[in-house]
Amino acid sequence: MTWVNAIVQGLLLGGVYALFACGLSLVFGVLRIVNLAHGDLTVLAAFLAVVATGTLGVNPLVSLVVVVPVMALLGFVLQRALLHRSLQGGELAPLLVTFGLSIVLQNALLQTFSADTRSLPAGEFGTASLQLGDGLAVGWLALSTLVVAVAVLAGLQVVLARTPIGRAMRATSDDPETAALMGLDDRRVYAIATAIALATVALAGVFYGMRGTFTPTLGPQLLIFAFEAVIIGGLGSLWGTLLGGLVLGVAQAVGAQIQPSYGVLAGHLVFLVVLAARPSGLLRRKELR
Amino acid sequence: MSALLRVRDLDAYYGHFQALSGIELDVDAGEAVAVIGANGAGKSTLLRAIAGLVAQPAGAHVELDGVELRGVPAHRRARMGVSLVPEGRKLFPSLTVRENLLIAASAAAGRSRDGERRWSLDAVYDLFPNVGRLRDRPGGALSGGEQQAVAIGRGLMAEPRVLLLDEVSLGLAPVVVEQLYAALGTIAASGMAMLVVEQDVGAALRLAGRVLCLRAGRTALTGAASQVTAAAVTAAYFGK
Amino acid sequence: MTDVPTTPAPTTAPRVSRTTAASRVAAVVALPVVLLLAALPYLAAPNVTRLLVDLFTLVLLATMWNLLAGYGGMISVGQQGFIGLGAYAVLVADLFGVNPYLGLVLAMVAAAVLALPTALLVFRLHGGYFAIGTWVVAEVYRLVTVEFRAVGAGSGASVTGLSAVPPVLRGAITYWCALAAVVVAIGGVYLLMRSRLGLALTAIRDEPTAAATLGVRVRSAKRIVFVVAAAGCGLAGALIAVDSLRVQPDSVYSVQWSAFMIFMVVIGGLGTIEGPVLGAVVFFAIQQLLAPYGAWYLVVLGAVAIAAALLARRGLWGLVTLHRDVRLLPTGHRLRQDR
Ligand SMILES: Nc1ncnc2c1ncn2[C@@H]1O[C@H](COP(=O)(O)OP(=O)(O)OP(=O)(O)O)[C@@H](O)[C@H]1O
Ligand SMILES: [Mg+2]
Repeated sequence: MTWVNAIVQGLLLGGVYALFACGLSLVFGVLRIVNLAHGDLTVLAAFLAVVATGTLGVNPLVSLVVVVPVMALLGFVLQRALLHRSLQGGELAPLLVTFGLSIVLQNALLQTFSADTRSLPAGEFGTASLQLGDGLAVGWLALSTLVVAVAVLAGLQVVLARTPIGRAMRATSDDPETAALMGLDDRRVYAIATAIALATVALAGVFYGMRGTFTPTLGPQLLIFAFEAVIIGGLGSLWGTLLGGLVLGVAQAVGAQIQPSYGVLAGHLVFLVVLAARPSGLLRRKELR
Repeated sequence: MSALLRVRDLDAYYGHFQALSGIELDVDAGEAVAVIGANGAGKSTLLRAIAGLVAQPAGAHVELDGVELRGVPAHRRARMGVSLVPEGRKLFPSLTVRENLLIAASAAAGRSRDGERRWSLDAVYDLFPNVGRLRDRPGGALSGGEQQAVAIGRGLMAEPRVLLLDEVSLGLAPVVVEQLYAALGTIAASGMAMLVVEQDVGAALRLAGRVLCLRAGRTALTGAASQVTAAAVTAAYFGK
Repeated sequence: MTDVPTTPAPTTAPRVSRTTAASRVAAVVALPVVLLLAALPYLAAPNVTRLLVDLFTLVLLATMWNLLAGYGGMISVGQQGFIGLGAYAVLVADLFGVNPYLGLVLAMVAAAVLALPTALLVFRLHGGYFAIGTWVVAEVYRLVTVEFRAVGAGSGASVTGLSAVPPVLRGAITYWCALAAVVVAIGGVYLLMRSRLGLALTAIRDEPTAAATLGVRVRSAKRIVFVVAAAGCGLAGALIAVDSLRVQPDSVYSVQWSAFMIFMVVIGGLGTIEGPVLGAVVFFAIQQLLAPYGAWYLVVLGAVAIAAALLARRGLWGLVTLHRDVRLLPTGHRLRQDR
């Protein structure tokens, strides 16, 4: 039963990872930028929720009403102010810029909020669980995180595949110059993509914060988890990203079941095995990036 | 009355290399002008400069219906009615044929809300029947001739006032070129201004009323298509 | 054809030159400077040489990261993995009673050996994903290291084998090791870039597909660079260990090392040999000045790196050489027409 439990908890954890990963995947798919500040932006969202819940006295879930639009706006501005310029500087510039941003965010958070461990108490909803049999309970919060992750990924998939803005994103990602000939403003398309990505980052940050604890220096770790989910699943496939998140979550939970300190390591090892055996990921789709 | 597209003193640079110097050109509504010249003469650069993909230096003028386009970025020019069918077709591989066509319609969205739309998916499918059959194929999985038809259709979906075509015939069988130019003939007859870059001088001259021949970025010859002799073209191409 | 007067042939054919005026001066000046630095333990107080050990370690790291990114086109944020390995190699050597200074060599070997399988894995990734991939591998090294009780698990351990050596002598030996490491690293990169491999790397950086079709063995060239850079970082880690006499996993395996390396190289000038050295000096000065301000100094560092990546792509060295031909260590070929 403990193993079944570990797997179930791992799947639920994987939901969070999938949520982390979809923003990274989207920015890479559309802008061709690997955003090395992705994890720190997630942590920033969690801290914004700390401030919002503190000042407004609301439940973290309610704080999403503020945090999601603020992060989306930040994404828009970030793209306009930094990322777009870096795109003109060849392959290295975006990496250097986002890595610099990661250092800035991390240390600014550290100075502002200290190194203390935080969490976002979600009240009764955060602690209640669904009993599925003896020894097997599923937290409502964990379950709803997974549901949100699936919904966000499905939503993104629909936006990309069926809406005009999704079409514009795919076209701009294919060839920004020709897209401009079609009347598409690449700066706007990129900025909207980044805004959407950071909205998902906001969701990920707040849900992560409700599920566990976080510190200002957690960002790099989250970036790594998001990255592993993306690569395990296969670059460019959103459903692959979900699968990658779930595989990573299960690997970590099972590893931790063997010995607590093996959790993260087990995740890394599964990632390396996938990289060695199936470098294009479990679900690589060629046509949709 | 000035021409629909008016180009004056147009220079273009790639870094320090000057690809165009002092180009002057007028294209009226309903008129087709052929741009010819040897490889590297600057034909594509001319079209790209008009479309806004190559920077327009101070002192150079590109006007659409009397409106100066300097400083207007490519995507806004597209929305104003300058549509370039680029060299190499450049279809979007992640989009289906239908989506490739629809994506250009967004360029026309702002302008033709009040005025009636001339081009629609059905109109393009009527013009190029095989495009209709291929509508759900990805843009990357087409033959050269099919790609060119989609690229022209896509250019039309932007509801251009000026249509710029770069090397329509490149790499295509003569019979396919014939069909494409027949279609372009009907479009020209409907009153659109066209600037056609061609290596296939014969094809271009059948469509165009006037011709502009470039050599090393400068105008080497210009005149009515009917007046231009083969010898004059050869001389303009290669220099005396 | 009529008689065309032939243009007189130039009296001398153009020559390919591999030196500049500045480089000849540099060659003459370098030796006395190195000798002076070598004599420093006899001339200056131990705390000066101690600071210089830190600086030399930074120069070594910057040179290695530049080799990877500036010449090899590989952005790594996982070099701390090799720094940590190097530090732990000293610790393990120490455990077995081997002289920690000998551990410096073992550290290079250990890092180079582990770099081979690492390259096999991370070379499957490209661009930014390569960067994070190296980071994951560094994390794996750290997580595996802390599983071993013998080296102090999560809290680390001290290097004990040097306690018999008098501190002044120990400081001097460490200093000489660091100086030698820097000289070898800069000289090595210089020679590497002037060799056939350097030419291949330049071709790969400029046009990877064309280089591959022309028979440049892209993968093996990159692998050599990766292994050399790993060895260099391992050496840096070992220097940190013999200098501080204490190895803590969270510190030697910290991603902050990558941040520092990136900062030094970007500020100094990517893709030159002089740039990273200059960057290391600037970084070292900033670190000394701003360290009291805690994390704010890292905020400033990050912001400056962003600005440099966007605005001054060629770094400080690029500004210095903007209108002058002052390449001290030229790696390219130049055509000269002698009159
Ligand atoms: N991106 C670029 N950077 C530098 N030079 C360029 C660039 N594009 C074109 N050129 C140069 O500008 C000149 C004109 O090029 P252009 O593409 O306009 O020629 P073209 O007449 O269209 O030739 P073709 O018939 O081969 O298509 C050429 O000498 C070319 O080498
Ligand atoms: Mg051309």
